[in-house]
Amino acid sequence: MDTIPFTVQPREDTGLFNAKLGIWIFLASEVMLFGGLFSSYVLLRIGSITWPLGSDVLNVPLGALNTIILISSSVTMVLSWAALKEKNLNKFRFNLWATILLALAFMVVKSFEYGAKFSHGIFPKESTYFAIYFTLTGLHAFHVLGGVVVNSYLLGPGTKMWKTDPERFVNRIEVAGLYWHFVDLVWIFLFPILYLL
Amino acid sequence: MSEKSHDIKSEIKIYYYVFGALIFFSALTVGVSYIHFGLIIGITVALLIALVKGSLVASHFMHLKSEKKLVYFVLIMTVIFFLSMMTLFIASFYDVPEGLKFLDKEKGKTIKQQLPNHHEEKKH
Amino acid sequence: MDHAHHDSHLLPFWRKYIFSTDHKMIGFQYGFTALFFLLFGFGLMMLMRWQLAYPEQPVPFIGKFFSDDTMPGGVMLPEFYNQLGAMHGTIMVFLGIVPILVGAFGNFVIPLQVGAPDMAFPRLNMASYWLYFLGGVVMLISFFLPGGAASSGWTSYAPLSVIATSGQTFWIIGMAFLIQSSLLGALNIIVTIFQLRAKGLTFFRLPFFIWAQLVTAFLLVLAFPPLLAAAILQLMDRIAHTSFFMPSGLIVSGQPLEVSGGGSVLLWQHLFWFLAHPEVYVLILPAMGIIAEIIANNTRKPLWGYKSMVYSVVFLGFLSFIVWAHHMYLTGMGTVISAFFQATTMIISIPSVVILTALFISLWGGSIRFNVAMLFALAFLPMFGIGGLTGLPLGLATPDIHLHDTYYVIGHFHYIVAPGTIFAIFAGIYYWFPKATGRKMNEFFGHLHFWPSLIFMNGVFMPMFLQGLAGVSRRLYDGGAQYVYAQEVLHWNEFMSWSAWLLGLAQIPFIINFIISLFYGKKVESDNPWQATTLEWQTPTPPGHGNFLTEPVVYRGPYEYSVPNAPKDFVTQNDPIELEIK
Repeated sequence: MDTIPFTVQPREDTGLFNAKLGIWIFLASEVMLFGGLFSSYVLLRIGSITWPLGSDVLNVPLGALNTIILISSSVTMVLSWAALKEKNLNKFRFNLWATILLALAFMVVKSFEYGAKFSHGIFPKESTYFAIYFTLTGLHAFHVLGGVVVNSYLLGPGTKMWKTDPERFVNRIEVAGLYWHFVDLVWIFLFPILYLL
Repeated sequence: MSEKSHDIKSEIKIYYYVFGALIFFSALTVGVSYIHFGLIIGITVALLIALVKGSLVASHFMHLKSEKKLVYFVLIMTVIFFLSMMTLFIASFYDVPEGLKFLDKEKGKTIKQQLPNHHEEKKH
Repeated sequence: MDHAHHDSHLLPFWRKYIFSTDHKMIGFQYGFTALFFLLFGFGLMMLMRWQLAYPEQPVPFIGKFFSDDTMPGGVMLPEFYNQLGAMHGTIMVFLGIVPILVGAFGNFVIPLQVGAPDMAFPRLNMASYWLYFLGGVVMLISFFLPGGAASSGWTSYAPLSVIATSGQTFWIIGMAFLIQSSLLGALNIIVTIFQLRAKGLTFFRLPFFIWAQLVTAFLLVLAFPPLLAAAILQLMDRIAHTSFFMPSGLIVSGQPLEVSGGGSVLLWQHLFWFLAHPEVYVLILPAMGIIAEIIANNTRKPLWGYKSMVYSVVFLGFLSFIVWAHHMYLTGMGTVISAFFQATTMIISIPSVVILTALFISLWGGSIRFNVAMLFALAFLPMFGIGGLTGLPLGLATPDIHLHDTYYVIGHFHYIVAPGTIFAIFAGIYYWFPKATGRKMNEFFGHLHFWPSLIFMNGVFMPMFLQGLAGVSRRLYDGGAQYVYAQEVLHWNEFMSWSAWLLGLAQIPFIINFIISLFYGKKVESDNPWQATTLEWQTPTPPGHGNFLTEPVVYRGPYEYSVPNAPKDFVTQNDPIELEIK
């Protein structure tokens, strides 16, 4: 594996190390995935006879809370990377822990929201609005969980690499951070579209 | 070496500023939703604010403002194809042959406007 | 960097052959698996062709092995015919062609041709293969479900696919695995090409094969996700009874469907074709790449118009994203939007023609060597030409009114994929077999494979244009027998079926040749038996772990054949020799 060049040092003409280019390409595909769902939302809405106002049917304070939670987790994520740049392992650990906990808090709030809907007998099949709501937020939540798994690994057994190959570890945190910021980005668009419009 | 740590310290400061800005814009998003624009303006305002927030996250947290050309290229291609997809979906919806039932071509509006619509009925 | 002596032979069997991270082994895995699926998918079609040639007759020999749900008394049920049709398309495209072009040829050749020790992300590469394998298993299992496999066409249009049997759910899940596999594989390819090129290998020194794979990878990365989105939505419709694609007021078997309604049937079509159009370029671009390499090598000349070909393939990739609704001309789109898609569709034919023309002109003045790889490559040119030209009336909205969903369409795309892409695949196998195995395939058996294949390909697909022009629709269980206007062209069914079965027989020499040559083929005397210029031939044969003995440095373009003043009729890319330009 170490015979593959540019896993840590950037290549001169592209200016990138491999995983950085890789994650951006992955994020491009994710933009198209959520983009496909957003386009579906638009098409379904303009073709519908009635469409509820988001704030009438969803819990805006909880949605706003989740927005704050996710934005905060984005900050702690980038701070954890910056801490490694400062060679402060404790600060790194603290911030990555915070990121994971905030992500889990997001999931808790989300399960409250879903639970409330289900207990009122509102399931995805209720209407096209709820169908796209559950699907978009569900897929997003799935991505949040994925981020939790990756970050937990990096905080746990993954941290061994800080001793053996620190620069490569910093790159890994940066790449994981890029993924995590993207998850936050999707929510930044999801929240107003689903909850407020 | 101390120059680098100074750099990262000032970067960290910027992260906190961006955090503050994001919270502000989030509050703005919710606040603005209480003002009763029509749907089109509402969507535009909401999307604009979301774009500002998104740009902050992308340029600062994701370091896009100092990224390399290749990454910009990949992202620009993505944005172009995403926008084409959405635009063409919508255009295909609205451009239909004359006489197709669900589109009231005379008024240029869809028939749904004649039916009870939550946006017009509800008093905010 | 002495790679060839890496102790990979000390890896346990399951690490070396099953869970390998070496791109060459993964290439083999993709190759063998995909060849199996190609054969299986071909088998499905041979079964269908019995029903078309001899409707309601029991299938001989094998009919008795099928259950009463599929072929009671050996007579094919319409439901089973539909399953065969849907799965033939799905398996050939997603389990056969793409994995072999991108997974097998891409994985095996790309790192070698760019001078890299492996792909950029070897473990991701391994994961991609196993995702593909799992997807394939899910697809195959679906045949054994109650209700059988998916039967709503490879296009899975709503609302039929939403109310179909459980095979459709497995189709969706299988597709999800396959899409993920392709995405990760394409990502790997893009990073490998940009990041791991050898020193001196600038973009306009890349072999055309690499350009083709690069554009293909971008298509996969950006076009597949909307289909994944659509698959998720269809899964929700089927399992959670949502109405993404279910319109209001749908009546099924006399009963109104109990769904919220309000969905859009066309939404599925838009999302599906947004992928599926770029997908067809995924099916042809790597094939063109293979043909380009073989033609340059066997004419002993540089490719004519290399730069135009590169610009064309990039332009084509870009345009391929905005042509998709030419598959939807008959869905009630208005004239403005139809005109838009018609325009982009007409424009996209230009880069294809440029590439094909350049390949044709490359033959002019060449010292052509007619080995089997070259025979397939030469046949590709006119066959792809027929396929491409017959696409023109389909791309124009007005004639498409008559031709849409007829056998004309089937003829068109099969000419491109079958004597087009599949011939390119065969060419590539005959060509790169010596590098991969150290042995050559047998030329005589190669001829036994080639000539009948060429003849019978035309026998199967040429009459389809006649049937389509007469108005015979696709996906008809009875092959058009119920239609008065089709009666005069019905007799072609039997002719086409026999051509298909004989085409099947013609593959036997290939299968025998392939398997036997693996073990007993004539060993090659040099690492570069075709005297080729590109980097993959400058490795040991077969290449060891890490591929190159020393880090390659590139000094020149990819097709320096017959260079004046050169000592031999070719100069390899990494040959430092300085030649005077006269």
